[in-house]
Amino acid sequence: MGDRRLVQGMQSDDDTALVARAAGGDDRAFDALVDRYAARVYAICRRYFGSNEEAEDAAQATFLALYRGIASFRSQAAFSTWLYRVATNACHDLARRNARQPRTVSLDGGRSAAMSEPHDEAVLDRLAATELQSDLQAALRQLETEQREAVVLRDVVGASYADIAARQGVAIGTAKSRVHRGHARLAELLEPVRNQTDVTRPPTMQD
Amino acid sequence: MDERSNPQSSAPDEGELLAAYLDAETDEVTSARVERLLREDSQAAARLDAIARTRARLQDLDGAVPPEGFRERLDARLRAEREAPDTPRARRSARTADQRFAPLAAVAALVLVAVLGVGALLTFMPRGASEEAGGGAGEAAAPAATSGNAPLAGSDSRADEREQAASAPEGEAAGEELDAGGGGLEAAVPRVSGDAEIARRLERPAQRTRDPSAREAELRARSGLPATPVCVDDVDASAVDLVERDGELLLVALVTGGDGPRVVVFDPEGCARVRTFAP
Repeated sequence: MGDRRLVQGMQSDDDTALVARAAGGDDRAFDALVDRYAARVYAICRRYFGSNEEAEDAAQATFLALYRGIASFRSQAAFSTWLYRVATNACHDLARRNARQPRTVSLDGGRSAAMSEPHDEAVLDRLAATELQSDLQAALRQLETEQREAVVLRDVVGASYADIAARQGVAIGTAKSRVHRGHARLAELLEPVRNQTDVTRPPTMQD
Repeated sequence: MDERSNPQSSAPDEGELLAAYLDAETDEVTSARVERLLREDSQAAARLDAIARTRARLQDLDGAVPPEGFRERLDARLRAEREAPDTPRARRSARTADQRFAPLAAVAALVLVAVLGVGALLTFMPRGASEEAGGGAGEAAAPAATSGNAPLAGSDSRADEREQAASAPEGEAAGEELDAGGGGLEAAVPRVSGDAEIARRLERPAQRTRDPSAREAELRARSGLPATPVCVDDVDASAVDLVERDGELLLVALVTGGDGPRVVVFDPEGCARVRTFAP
């Protein structure tokens, strides 16, 4: 925890070796991965649920799923990216089992986000109170207003998609689309050298 | 502007799809397509990594601290998983070990069969025939070479036999032992022969659960079934088990309600209710 390398996504050379060993049955390598990512996974789940108990359940489910499925990791993407998704999936599953949505947040003095009128300043106030790095702040400012609000509500505030949709007066699918497009756009702005792929290049996923 | 109302922007581009995939918001078909892309296209993979890093920065994930004892509790669950002999990982390890020693086994079998073959020829063949055979050892070695593959194939067979043995009803004692080692979870898929046996299993203390959905998830994971659908969400189950009957995998749940206890039998693939009976 606190290791900035993890925040930056961590170059995966060490991870790759550990994953290969863990996939071959080396439990010590798996334990090393747990050491490296336990706090991160817990943080993802804590942000999703807002409660320690469910966060712990989901985090443990993440590592159990990882233990059972680590040999299936084949992506060229970083292990940390894959684990992020495994953790998010575990959170979805637990929320579904518990028939609960991610936490509902209140942004405006006790009024629920669902009842709030769209009000970008309130979100930006919240954002200003968060110590985001300047390049991230600058990139956020380049997003369209609705997109920025959706991203900040989702990631900085921790709102559910239902809350974002209600707040913005749109369907949940639209709220998700805004958040996902916002994430992709931010990544392009923040890592232009790494992202030389044309956004509109041949749609290999549309096949 | 509502992106969905604009035909120009309604189709998700690759970045949006990658972000949705990372957010576990894509359906199975789309996820499979994305995963294929990630295996084949390093730039798409790099792009996904960048999105993940960006989200991590936005979420400032270093702020949360796991509660005291988190790692110890996680270690206990992992230890239980490791000690359960029939997890997919354990099966994989068994196969890996067999494959590792398969070449040695093949050579050993080759030698053994060749020696036995020559011995048998010398013992049972009429002397004249034996002499006619001339290079009999060489001829005996030919089928031996063929059967020398048997240990290779047999290595998997042995692993499969072990799996079957683990699944076979070695008796309740074996099941109890697995329950203890597996942290209260059945580690194998036991074969049952009748309703009474299903009911008896469900009434065992080890099968009781306060979180039937979680238990079903564990059972599915251990038996290699897909995580979804979840069958017991719609019933008030106090015990859940996965059993094999007449070669058919069944998810069974003990349900208590106004009409008294009932055993509900599901087809775990689609969660269709096969039938219900009183224990």
